[in-house]
Amino acid sequence: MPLSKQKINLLQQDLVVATKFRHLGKISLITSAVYVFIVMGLFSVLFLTSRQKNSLETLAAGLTRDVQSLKETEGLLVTLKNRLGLSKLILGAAAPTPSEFIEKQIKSLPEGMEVTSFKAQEDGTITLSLRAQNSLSITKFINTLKEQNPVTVVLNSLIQLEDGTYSLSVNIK
Amino acid sequence: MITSIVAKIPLAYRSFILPALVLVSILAFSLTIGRAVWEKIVQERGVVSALQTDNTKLLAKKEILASQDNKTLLIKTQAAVDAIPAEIPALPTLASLNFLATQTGVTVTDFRITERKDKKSETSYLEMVVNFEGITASSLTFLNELKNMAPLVKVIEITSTVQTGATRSKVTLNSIWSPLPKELGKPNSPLETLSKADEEVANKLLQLKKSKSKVAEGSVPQGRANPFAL
Repeated sequence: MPLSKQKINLLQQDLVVATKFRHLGKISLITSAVYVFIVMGLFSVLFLTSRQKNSLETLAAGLTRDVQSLKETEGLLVTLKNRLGLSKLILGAAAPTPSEFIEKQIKSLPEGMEVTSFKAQEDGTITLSLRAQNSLSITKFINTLKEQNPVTVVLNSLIQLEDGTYSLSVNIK
Repeated sequence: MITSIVAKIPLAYRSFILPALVLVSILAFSLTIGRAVWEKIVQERGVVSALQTDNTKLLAKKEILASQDNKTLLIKTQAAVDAIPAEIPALPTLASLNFLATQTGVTVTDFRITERKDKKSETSYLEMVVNFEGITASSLTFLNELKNMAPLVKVIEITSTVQTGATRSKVTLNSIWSPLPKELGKPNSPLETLSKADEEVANKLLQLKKSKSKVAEGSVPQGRANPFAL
């Protein structure tokens, strides 16, 4: 009868188990080492970050001191900026000075015409009241206005007075 | 209780209980510490990032302030405060009007002043109605020069009657005033620089003609342009 090979484990049962888990020690050691390494790495990053924070805080304190020392300049700049903003409320919204325009009109009036009154409003409308000796002067005046751009002229009234002269009123914008 | 749990574990595995517990403890401890450290790192990185931003702002602000010429700035600010006073500008405006009238050869015959306050802002408005008379050319020069007067005025309406070269006029003007800024922002708050348009306005304000009368000088005290000076 041929003999068959058979493994017989003569070790005790707990030793059999120990053999099964013989890598457990190594694995746990490696795992612990990896974790400790990670934690150490994190601590190193924290240390470096804290150092960076400290140096930035020192820099910030120095810069704040520098800015504080220039407080007077900042005050002037803030005040100037504030006043300039308010100035724009007046300068920006103001219509072009009408006096220059009126002066120009008075100077360029044709012969036989004179200004009796004028009114300039905020929206830029100028009302001129004029007296003309004859209709030719009126035509010349209207033609002069037409040459000026951009000007909108509205004739408000044109009356011939008893003495033969004309009274007219125009709105110019 | 622990004894009963241990009793349930097969004898062969019992010797692994302690090392297993130690391993689990190490892992748990490492995880807890690791997580805490990670959170701290994230927090610190946030602070670092905020500090970097602040420092950039501070540096920019410092550079802007350091590049300013204090003397020029003071002159411009003074001119700007003369143009838009910190106090009610009735007297300086009237003084300037009178000064201008004398210079241009017209006579101020009457005036009326009304104050109006904007509830939303601290800005107050002053409406002035001024009657004056003079020869037409002088009256027109006077009207023309109003734009170059300090405090700044806005011409709302002009009504004139011309009679044989003499002009009687009524001009309605608006002027504004507002208290000066009292507080500066935080050191790291951004600082607005003067734009090109601002520079143009500032230069224009420098050209404004101010009354040389003592009344006007007294009503806008010197030094008010710089309330932050020690």
